[in-house]
Amino acid sequence: GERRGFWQGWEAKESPVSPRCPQGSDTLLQWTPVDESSDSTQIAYSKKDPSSCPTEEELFDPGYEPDWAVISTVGSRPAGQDESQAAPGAKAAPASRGQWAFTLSLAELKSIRKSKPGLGWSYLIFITKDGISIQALHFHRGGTKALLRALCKYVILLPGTGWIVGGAGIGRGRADLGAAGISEPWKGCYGTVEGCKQPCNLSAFPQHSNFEESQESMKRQLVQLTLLLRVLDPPLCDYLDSKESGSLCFCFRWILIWFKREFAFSEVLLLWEVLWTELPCPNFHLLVACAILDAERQALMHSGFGFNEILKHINELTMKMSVEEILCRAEAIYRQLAATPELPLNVQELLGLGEAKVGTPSTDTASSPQPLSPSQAPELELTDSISASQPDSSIEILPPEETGGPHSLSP
Amino acid sequence: GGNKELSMVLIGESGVGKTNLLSRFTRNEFNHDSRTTIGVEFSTRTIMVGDALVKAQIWDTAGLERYRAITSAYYRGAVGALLVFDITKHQTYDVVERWLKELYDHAEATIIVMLVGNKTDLAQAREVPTEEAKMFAENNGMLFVETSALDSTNVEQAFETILRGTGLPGQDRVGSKQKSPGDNTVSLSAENADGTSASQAMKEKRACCLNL
Repeated sequence: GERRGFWQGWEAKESPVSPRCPQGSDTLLQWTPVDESSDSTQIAYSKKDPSSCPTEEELFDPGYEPDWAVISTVGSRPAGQDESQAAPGAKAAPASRGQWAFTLSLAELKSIRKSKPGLGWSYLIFITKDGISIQALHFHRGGTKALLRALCKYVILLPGTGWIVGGAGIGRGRADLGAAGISEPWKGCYGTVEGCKQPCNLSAFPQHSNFEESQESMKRQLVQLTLLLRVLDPPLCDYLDSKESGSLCFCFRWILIWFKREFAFSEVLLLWEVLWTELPCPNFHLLVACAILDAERQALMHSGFGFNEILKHINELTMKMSVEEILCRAEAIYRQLAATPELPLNVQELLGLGEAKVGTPSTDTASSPQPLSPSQAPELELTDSISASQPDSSIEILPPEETGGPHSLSP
Repeated sequence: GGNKELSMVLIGESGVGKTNLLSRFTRNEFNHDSRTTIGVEFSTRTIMVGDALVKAQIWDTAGLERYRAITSAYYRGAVGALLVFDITKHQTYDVVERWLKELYDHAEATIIVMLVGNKTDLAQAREVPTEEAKMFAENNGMLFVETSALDSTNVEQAFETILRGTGLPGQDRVGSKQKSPGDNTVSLSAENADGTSASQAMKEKRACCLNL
């Protein structure tokens, strides 16, 4: 049996599993534009029970009307980039009521973008896990709330950051987070769309404090990153200093959203799973940043890059790196640091090393980054030792089939 | 002529369309789904100014305070700035003065600033009257133009006016804040070749919408 419900314009389908426990199910969104010849003030809503018999039918006006004219007449897109065509990943509906119809599996849904309030009309854009944006769905008289409320049955919206946990893998996502010692961060997130707009506990995701207005946490982490890099690679630090880039502000995006924009979605999930474990050490994300800088040090230092070019180069690494390679590199760095005698105390504390020294007065690593003299700073030749550490990596790289991602997050 | 590099910066509140103005200018692309800019991003485009090639390096900055890194760094060496607001959100216009102050605190004194009212394609939702913004620009020594990154209206003109007006010998530095306010503010919309100014067109559109 098939259970289905649809608004005019929208049709949600799911296979016979209970909503919000959709593991293994494939819930489909089917968009079909309003038939212009019909009376759009009378909108049918119906549900079918598992035996496919209509048990409920009512008429109501959800108060919206898709408006494709806006997007198809105003835009001046270059040929070949016609966003109005159903994107790959969204199949054209077989019995389409028009060229705009499409079907999208909720398992493929990564995030939804909503126009800001205050526009004369509003729109929603669905983004798939492949990063494909389905054409904007326009609503002239409201209706986005009703639609999102309906979708909340199937996906969990994480507001504030625009992240969405959804699709067929919510169950697994929950389990993973539980395993990492995180208590349901989305509690209270689903239900009504209004509920979705409220700030909620996102502590499981890139540090909530990263988003504080004061940026204190971000500044502290950039200082900590500088501290690590100074220990690891003084020549690179000196070079960056000489180019007025010593603050490492070009790493801001990495730290703020935990490399969310640097890797493909499935790779981000892998990376975050590693970071959530706090293995092999706390603040491992800073070593990941060091690993990327280490991988790029040749390009940065030997191309004569200045302030602008450094930032541009770092920005343009997005989607060009292998998360596994970077993780291995980061772990190698950790192992070298862990094996380094007389590592500066603030570095030890940052990485949770030297816990045998209980009773050592704790200093604030954040506010007192001590530039280290060459004698204090063991200069490590990272580049050559990376591959050697790979075989005995303690970081479990999940097989690809398990990384296809239940929870999908998109800042 | 030789190859010249000029740097300019896009500033303004989050969501006003800075990133799409830049992508429209540098790649002729518009993305309905563009993501919040984090920190600062960077694009270049080379244009002909007279017989000289000018390579424009354009910094696109985060509008959200918590997504901005070390701000002053972005402004170094910028010869021009587009201070962007959204004509459909009065709040983004209300804070223009604050952005202007930030710019003048960090940028060079000779920087040319153009106030840009973006999203003219959303004429029916307009909250900031053209004349009001134009007057404000004049009183504060800024150039002024209204644009639509979505339908490309005036995007080229906005960038090119800045790039033409800066750093080239013998050119008047129109819009420079060193000029006394109001004496030579240029409104691009009044200079359209077809004689119909964008602002007039907007008014006609609005009138038309009001009649509905």
